[in-house]
Amino acid sequence: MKLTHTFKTAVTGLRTNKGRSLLTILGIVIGIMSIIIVVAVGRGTEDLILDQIRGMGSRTISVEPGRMPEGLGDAYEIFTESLGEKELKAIENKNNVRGNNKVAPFVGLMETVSHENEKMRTQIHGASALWLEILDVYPSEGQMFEESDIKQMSRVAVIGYEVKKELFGESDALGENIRIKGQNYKVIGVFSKIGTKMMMNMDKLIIVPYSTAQKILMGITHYQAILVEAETEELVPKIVEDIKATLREMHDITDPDKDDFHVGTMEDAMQIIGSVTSALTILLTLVAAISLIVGGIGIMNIMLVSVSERTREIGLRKAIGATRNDIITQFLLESVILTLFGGIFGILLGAGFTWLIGVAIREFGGFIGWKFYFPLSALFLGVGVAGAIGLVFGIYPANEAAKKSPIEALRYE
Amino acid sequence: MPIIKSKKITKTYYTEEVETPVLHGLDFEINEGEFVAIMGPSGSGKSTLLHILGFLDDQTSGTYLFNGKKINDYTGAEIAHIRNKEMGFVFQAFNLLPRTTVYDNVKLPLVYSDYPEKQWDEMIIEAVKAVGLEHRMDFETAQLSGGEKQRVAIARALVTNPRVIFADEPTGNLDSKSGKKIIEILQSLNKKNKHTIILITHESETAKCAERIIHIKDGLIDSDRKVKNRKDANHGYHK
Repeated sequence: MKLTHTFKTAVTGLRTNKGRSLLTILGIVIGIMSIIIVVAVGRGTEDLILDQIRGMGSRTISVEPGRMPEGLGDAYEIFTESLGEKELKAIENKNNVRGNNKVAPFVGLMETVSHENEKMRTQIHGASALWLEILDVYPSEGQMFEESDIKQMSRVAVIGYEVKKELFGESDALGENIRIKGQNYKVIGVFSKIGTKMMMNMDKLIIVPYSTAQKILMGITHYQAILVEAETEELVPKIVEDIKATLREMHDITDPDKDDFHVGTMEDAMQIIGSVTSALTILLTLVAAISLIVGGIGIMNIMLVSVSERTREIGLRKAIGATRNDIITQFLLESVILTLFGGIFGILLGAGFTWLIGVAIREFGGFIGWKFYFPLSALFLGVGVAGAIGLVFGIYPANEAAKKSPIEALRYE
Repeated sequence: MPIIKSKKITKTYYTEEVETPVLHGLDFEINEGEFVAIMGPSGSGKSTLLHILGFLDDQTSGTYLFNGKKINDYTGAEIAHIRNKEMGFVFQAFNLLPRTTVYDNVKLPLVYSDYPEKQWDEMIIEAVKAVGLEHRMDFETAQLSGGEKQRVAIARALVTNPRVIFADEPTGNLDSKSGKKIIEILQSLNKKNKHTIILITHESETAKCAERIIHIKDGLIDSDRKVKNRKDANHGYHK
């Protein structure tokens, strides 16, 4: 029998049971759709995060308290108090760390802020002008506070675009006061819409002098991070070593495993993010793959029902000259066509959802840089996997069909 | 050379521990162009015999030669090819494809044949004309009467121009008028196109339309004789 006729026969067989055919492929549609979404959103997210880290600048080094966290449950190490004024000064000292262009300490907290009757809970960052320079963002109205504000622990604030909108609406914010923990802070600068930088939503941020945040708002003396910018990219590894040596000497640490701080570079961060997202993608793909297997079993089930329902037809076909191979090909083609359709639907739906998720991430998540990413490989993967499932899970029913002796089949009621 | 030669064919069905012998060793020959009726009461083994002759089932022992060659000497693909090209089947229950037109039902054997596709249309039309259903060509089988359905089945059996047509109680599900028409068609196929017809029936009136009747009783040939006053379906069934 020619393949074109087998194909026609298979399509006719499927069309006679349209409703059932559609229900059968649902499992495959959902499976393929999930894989496409996972792969596409995973890649998009990875690109986004890497973009953010790259936005930090390749010359930026971050020094944080506690040893390198070794897992999500290990985060408590961050809360050690090993980085304080003394350590900041030591890192700033060019005799200890050569090539350190800018050094900027950082603390952060969540707090409720208000202006008149408007209230919002948001992230407050204690930082310095240098910190903004490293991030390469500047207020569009007003100005950033100066070194003197830090020395005097001034109660001044530079606020993000959303914060301004939330608290002040359309009216002017410059020179007005906002209340944080019962005290007034004068707004001296406002950012225009920036979006996310270094994984921080700049639009929802309030920046105050780090000394003010430390002592007035938090009552602490240590820093949560110290950002260091190298003069050139080539100096980064050397500066990392210098910082480590300086701090170890200060803290009398001889065994690097007992470090009470860790130093990260953009490259480290990119590697970590890269491996985390690929691990997540693999995990989620596995879950989706399980749903595909379940879908495949569904296909096998329905094909077995179909084979037993059509026993007479199979018997007749054999009686008038169909070979074993003709019957196997017919039923295999039916299941492959089914799953291929499922795959195509799944890809379309997956692409659609990925696009919608992208819109949501840009609109509601503030990640303007999120790109719709639809990998061509996912397309081939989807179609390939769907077809393969049809083939694998179709073999058993097709073989059952071909095994039927024509006479038993014709007698079947 | 006889087209069908049965030497001591036996058939026994086995279910778990029970043996059910159906055919006890049948010896006969059928020549090309003959119209043979195989008669017998139900349970006599006549359908089983037809299935063996039509390569649909295997005998338990004995030798069956089709076209001078033992069935065991044919490969699976050759058997499929013979069923397709040398044999046509007409069943009591029609066995047409549902939700499919007359044309497509008749086409079915051609799909499995090696006839070039260009010839199919002509062959289908010719077969449908031979059973007088050209006006029903595009009807779905569900829209046809029982007699018409059986005629479609005959057209399907006919379309590859086989040497032997096996008909298993083709009139069993039909009223006498439609049944008569079916026998008439079989007779004319035998006369005009020299098809060998092997007809299974339990009605003696129907059997008398054949040239020769083989009676089977309890799995053995009871009698094998020529029909003396052969009936023409046209006359035999007129009231």
